[in-house]
Amino acid sequence: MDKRDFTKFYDKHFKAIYKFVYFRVGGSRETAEDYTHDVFLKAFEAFERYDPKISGAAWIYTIARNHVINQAAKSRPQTDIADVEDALGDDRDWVATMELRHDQHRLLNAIRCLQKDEAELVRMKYLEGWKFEEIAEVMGRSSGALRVQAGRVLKKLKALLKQK
Amino acid sequence: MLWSIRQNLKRLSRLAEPRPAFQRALRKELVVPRPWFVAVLKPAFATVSIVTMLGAGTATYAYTSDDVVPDHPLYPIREQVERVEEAIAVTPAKKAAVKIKQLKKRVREMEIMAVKRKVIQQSHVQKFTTNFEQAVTTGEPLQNGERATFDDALSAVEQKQARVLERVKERIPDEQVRERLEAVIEEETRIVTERIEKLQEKRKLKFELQLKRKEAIEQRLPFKLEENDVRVLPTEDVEGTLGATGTRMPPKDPLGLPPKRIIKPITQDRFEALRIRLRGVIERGRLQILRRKDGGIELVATSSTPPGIKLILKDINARLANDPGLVAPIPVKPVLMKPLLDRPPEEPIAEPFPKPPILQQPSTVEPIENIRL
Repeated sequence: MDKRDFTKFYDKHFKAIYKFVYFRVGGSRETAEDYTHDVFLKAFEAFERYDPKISGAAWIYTIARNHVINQAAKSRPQTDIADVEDALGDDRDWVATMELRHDQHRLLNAIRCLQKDEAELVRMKYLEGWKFEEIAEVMGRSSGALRVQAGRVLKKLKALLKQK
Repeated sequence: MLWSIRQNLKRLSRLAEPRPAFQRALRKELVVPRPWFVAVLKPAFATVSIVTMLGAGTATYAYTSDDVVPDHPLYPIREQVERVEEAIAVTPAKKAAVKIKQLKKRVREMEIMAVKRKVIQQSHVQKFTTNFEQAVTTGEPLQNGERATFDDALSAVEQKQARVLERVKERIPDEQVRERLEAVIEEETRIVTERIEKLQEKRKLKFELQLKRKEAIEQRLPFKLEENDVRVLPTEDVEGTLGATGTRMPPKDPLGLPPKRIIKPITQDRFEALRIRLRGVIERGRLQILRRKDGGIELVATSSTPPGIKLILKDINARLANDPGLVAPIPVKPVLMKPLLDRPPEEPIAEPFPKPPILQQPSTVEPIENIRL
C-alpha cells in the first residue's frame, strides 16, 4: 500500500482504536493518547508492507492489541502473558476512576459477567464503535451471526440487570 | 429496557471520545508531506509578518511545516523566526509560553526524523537540553497559577522527549550507535535532572522563607494564625464594631490584613450542640482523646478530623478544661501527647491516672466509647 493512502486509513480507524486503547488503560487519557500515537506510528511504518487483502480493521486491531499487551506486560515482568491478556478485558480500573452514574456502574458490572466473546462483542460494538463488518473481520465470523449474537447479548444483559 | 441499555452504552462510549486537537496533531504528523505551495497557503503567525525581509512565504513555510527538520536547508530560517518570536514576547508569561512552544517543536522534529528514519545526531538531543534549560530559566519569575501551568507543560514535554528517544533507541540496529545514543541521553537527562533539582531547591528555600515570615507575624499578633491561615478570633474579644446597617462587624486586624474567615465564639449553647457531633467524630476515630497529667483531657486532631472541627479545636479544649459536666475517661493505654505547633511539649502521661478533683470516680472500667461529652 502507498503511504499516501494512510491518511484515509487513519481517519477511518482512529476513533475506534483510541476507544479500544482507552478502555484498556484504565481511562487515562494521557496513556490512551500515548498508546494510540504509538499504534498509528507502527501502522504508518508498516503500511507499505500491508496487504490490502487483509482487512484493515483486523490489521490495525491486532497492532493495537499487541501493543497494549506488550506495554502492560512491561510493567508486570513476572506476570504470565495470558494473565495480562485476560486482565485487558477487565475495566475495573476504568470504572474506579470515572465518575459514572449508578446505572452505568451496574451496566459495566453486568458486562463483566458475560462470557469473554460476548463481552468483547458488546465492548467493540457499543463502546468502541466498530461496525459489525469490521468486528466480523477481527473475530473471523460473519457479520450476520454477530448481529444475531449482539441482540441475544443485550437481552442477556437485560436479564442480568434485572437480577442485580 | 433494551433501548435504555443501548442509551447507557452510548453514553459510556461518549466518555471515551478522543480530543479533536490530539486527533488533528497525530494526523498532521503522519500525513505524507504535501507540496510546499500548499503549506504557504496556510494562515501565517502574526510574528512571522515581521520577518518579511526573508520572504513571507518562505518564512511561513519554514516555521510551520513539519518537513523542516534540522537537516533541512530552511531550518536556519525557522531558528531565525523563533528568535524574533522570543524578542517580541514581553511579559514573563508570554516568554514562558514561547519557550514551551519551542520545546514542543524540538520534540516534534525528533519524532518526524524518527518516523522518516533520518539519523538523529547528538546535537539534536543537546539542542533540546539547551532549550529546556532556557525554558526553566524563563519560567522562574512566574507566580502561582501560571507557574503551575508552566511546570506541568514543561514536565509533559520532557516526558514526551524521553519516550521519543526510547522509541528511536529501540529502532537502531547497530549496537555501537545505540550505545552512543544511550550515553548522550544519559548525559542530557543528568543535566535536565540537576536543573530541575536546583529549581526545586530554590522553591523550597522560598517556601521556608515564607514560613519564617509567617512565624514573625504571628509573634506580633495577640492571637495565633491557624495552619491554613484562617484566623480565629479570641472568644473574649469578639465585640467588633457596628456597621452602617446595624450588623456587628469584626474587629479590624492590627496589621491591616483582611479577615479570611471568622469563627463564631463557642458559647455554651453551641458547645452543647457540639457535644453530640464530637461524640460521633470520636467514635469514628477522627479525633484522639489524650489524658493530661493534671487530669484534664484534650482532644487532638488526626489526619481525618473534619476541617470545621480542626479550626475550633483549641476553643473546644479550653471549654473542656473548665467543664464540670464531664465524665472522666477510664484509664486506657497511655498515649504520648504530640507536641502541637504553638505549645511546648507536655510530659508523657504516667500510670496510674491521677483522679480529677471535680469529677466522680466510676466504679467499673468502661471502654473509651462511653465517654459523655
